[in-house]
This record gives sequence, C-alpha cells and structure tokens, in this order.
Amino acid sequence: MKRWHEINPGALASLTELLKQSYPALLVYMKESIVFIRGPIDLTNDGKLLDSFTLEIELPKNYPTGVPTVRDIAGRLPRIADRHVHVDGTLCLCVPDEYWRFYTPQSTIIDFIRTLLEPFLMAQIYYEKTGKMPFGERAHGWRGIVQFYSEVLQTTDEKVIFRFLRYLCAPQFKGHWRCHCGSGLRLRNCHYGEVHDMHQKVPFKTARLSLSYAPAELWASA
Amino acid sequence: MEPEEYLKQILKNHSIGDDSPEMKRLQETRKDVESLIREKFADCSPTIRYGGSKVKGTMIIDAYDLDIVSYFPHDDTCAGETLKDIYDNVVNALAEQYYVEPRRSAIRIRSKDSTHEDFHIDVVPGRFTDDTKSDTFLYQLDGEKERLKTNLDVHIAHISGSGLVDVIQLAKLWKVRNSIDLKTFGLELLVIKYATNSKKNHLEIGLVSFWEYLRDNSDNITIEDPANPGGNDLSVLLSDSTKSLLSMFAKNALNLVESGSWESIFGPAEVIEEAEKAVIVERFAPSYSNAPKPWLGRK
Repeated sequence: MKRWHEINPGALASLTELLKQSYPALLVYMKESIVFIRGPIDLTNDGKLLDSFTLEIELPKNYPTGVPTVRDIAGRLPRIADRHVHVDGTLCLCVPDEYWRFYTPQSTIIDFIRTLLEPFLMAQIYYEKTGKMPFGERAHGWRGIVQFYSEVLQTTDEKVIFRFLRYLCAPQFKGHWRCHCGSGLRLRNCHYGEVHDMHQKVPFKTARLSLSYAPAELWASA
Repeated sequence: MEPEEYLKQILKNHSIGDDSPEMKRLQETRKDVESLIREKFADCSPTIRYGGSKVKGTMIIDAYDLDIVSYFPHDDTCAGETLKDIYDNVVNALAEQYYVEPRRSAIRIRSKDSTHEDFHIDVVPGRFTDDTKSDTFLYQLDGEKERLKTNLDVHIAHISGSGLVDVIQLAKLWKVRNSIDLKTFGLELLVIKYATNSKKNHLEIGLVSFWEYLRDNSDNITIEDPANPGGNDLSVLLSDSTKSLLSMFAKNALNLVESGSWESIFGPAEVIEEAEKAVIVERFAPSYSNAPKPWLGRK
C-alpha cells in the first residue's frame, strides 16, 4: 500500500508549509517512509509561556484519513494511566471511536493540534497543580468505551452497546439483522439509521479494537 | 527585545539556583549517596565529588542531572580487583537503598518504591590511574573497549574555561526542547569545537555559528575527548540519525533566526508563575467545553 505522501508528493510540502505558519519550531522529517513531526509545543497566554511539551507526532500511512499518533518523547509526562499516557509515551487523546467528533478527513494537522492535542496538554498542566482533569476524562478500557457509546445511544445497557459495536465491526451490515436495541425487530425496521450513521464514522477496525476490551461475560451472553 | 537581551532572559529563566527545590533535593540525595558509599567502602578511601554539568557551570533546570564520581585509589583492590568488579560492587551497594539502572559508565539511581522516581543522579565509579589522582579509568558496559581513560579536571577546565558556558547552556536547552538524543557531554564538546568563541561571549554569534556548522557539515560532525584525544572513541555518541537530526534542527533554527523568530526556538521570554497556572487553565474551560475526554486502552 502506497503511503499518503507517495500518492500525492505535493502533500508533504503543503504540510510543512502549513506547520511553518502556526508551529514553526516543529520539524517535519521522514524515517523509513514514515513522516514524523517533532519538536516543542509552547502553550501560551497573553504571550507568556504557560508550559512547553516536546512531542513527536507520527502520521499514519493513510493520513489524513487516519489519525496521527502522539508521543511524549521527552519524558515530561508520567507514563501512567491516571495521566492517560501509555508506557511508551503515547498519549491517549480520546476513545478512538470518537475521533470523528474532533477530526475529520478534511481536518488539517493544525486542527489536530488545536482541537485534540492542546486541550490534552492544558489538562495535564491543570492536573499537575490540582490532581484533577479540568475538561473531563473517560474511564480506562471498556468502561470508557461504554461511556462514549452511552452518550451516542442514550443507554447504559452494556449488552445493547456490545451488540451495536459488533455491528460496527462488520465491514458491511445487513438490514435483516436483529436490532441491537433488543426490540426483536429487524434493523431496517428499527435503529437502522443509528447503525448506518456510526458505521460511516467509526472505521470497522477501530470498532473491532474497542470490542476487544469487552469483558468475558458479555461475550458469553452474546 | 533584541536577540542578545532575549537570550540572556532565557538563560535566567532556565537557570537552577542553589536554593531551588531541585538543587536542594540533589544535594540531600548526594549526601545520602556519599554516606552509603563511604559506609560500604569504608576501608577503600574513595574520592567522592561532583562531576558533570554542576561543576562545569552548564546545568539548566530542564536537564539537571547530577554526576557524583566515586573514584578509588589505583593501588588498592578493596573496592574490587578489576574495573568491572568495582562497577558491580558499587551497583550492589547502591541497590540496597535505591533502584539502580546501570548505564554505560554510570549508575542511575531512582527511588526503590514502585514509582522508581528519578533522582536525576548518576554515580560514576572508577579507579585512579596513579597517585596523582588525576587520570581515571572507568568501566564501560558496552563499546569497543571495556576501559575508558578520562580526567574530570581536564573536562571541567575544557568546558568552564571555554568562554562558551552560556552558549552551551542555550544549546542544551535547544537539544532538550527538540529531544535530540545526544549525551550532554557530547553536546558540550560539539559547541566548543564548532561555535565561534567571541571574546564578548556573544550568545547569538555563538549559537548561529554552531548551528551553521551542523547544518552544513552533517557528515563531518565528530567529537574528541579532551582528556584522551585519539584514545577514547566517542563516535558512539553520534549515530547517523543523531547527526541527521542535529543538522535538520540546526537548519530549522537558522531559518527561524533569519525570520527573527527566536521565540520559536526557545519559547517566550516571559513565563507564567507556577501558582497562576491552574487559574489560567480554568479560564480556558469554556472554550474547551466540548474538548476530547482523554482515555486509556487498558484491558
């Protein structure tokens, strides 16, 4: 599979130019055909430095459709669950299933930094001072996934959420399937629109990953 | 603000004072480490002193690792027969009180609890080569040779007498801000070798000349140990990818200098007080009301 910058050779130059305007300290470079953005992100208020983070942003093969991955490469953040940082320094900006709310294929790298990354970093500064996340946080693992889908489906019934996720995992879903809501009706006669809408937004591979967090008892009852 | 004035302010912002909490903690831990080594090697008369950026005057708050050297007399084997024995025995002694992380010639110490909190201290064991207690042999975990000849006093004189201490501190900050994987000692030597040493200790001239060399000579960047020129192979400090990154970041820095954007290289000169930070983040809350909620994939 060709990478995004091989398909469109001008895209890399455009990305570099775009970053130069808003984040000139960030360096765009390539290593083994993977494009990385690396350097300091200074958070400021009225021109004064609030804090600074040295990060590495890895752009996926299918950028900009695929979402970049961000790592704290300077060891600035503790690599613990409470800070939403993996042991390898990767930041968990949100439940992957809800990236579409903040990042669309039309989003630029600047949108990504401003919408997803900067609030995360701001929250880290606040946490260091108060021990609290100021803009909310998801529970870890399956619980956080349930929190997200509860908002989408307006239910806290984990079995419903589990069935819904299973439909999202299918590359294609069928209208004659039983509705995830438990009504006994066919999807086409019940919540078809709900599945269709989210199927467009959440890549089925992402849904599969989320489903892998489901506890054994849900799998047993499926 | 003129570049020179700006750079001086940056240096001030990133300096680490003797009465700072970080320095006090370092000094307290140093006392504990020294007591432990003296107790464990009571009959061995170790020479224990500060090394690294603390004595060279190049320490900054963003990278304030402290080296504590622990050198043993050349004609005494009570701390160990071989250099490796000395190294291993110091590791074992420290391991009684700390979580130890063996490095190339040093031993990093962390707290023994599950957090393994970093004390920012490296203990460097070694053995003097003779009675003058000047040249020293260090053990090397990896590298071509198991033994490295060095001289702390020569290093200190080379760095602190270079007239480039302030430029070195800024270069260290630049390295930290870009997370360039190069040992501080290596960077110090690079700055002295490649930066123009203006008699007026001109920061901008020093930095720009340093970056220009890195930008234009990526393949020819080399380091020599002033304590053993030609003897110690420091090329391991400079991998091809490190050279390449140094060169790319130097090019970027020079572009920013040309466009007058020093602040992009080192950040704003004005800094918000620690006590005000939480209040300021709270002010952002309305604009982040729909911000993503961080998560963690844990099964």
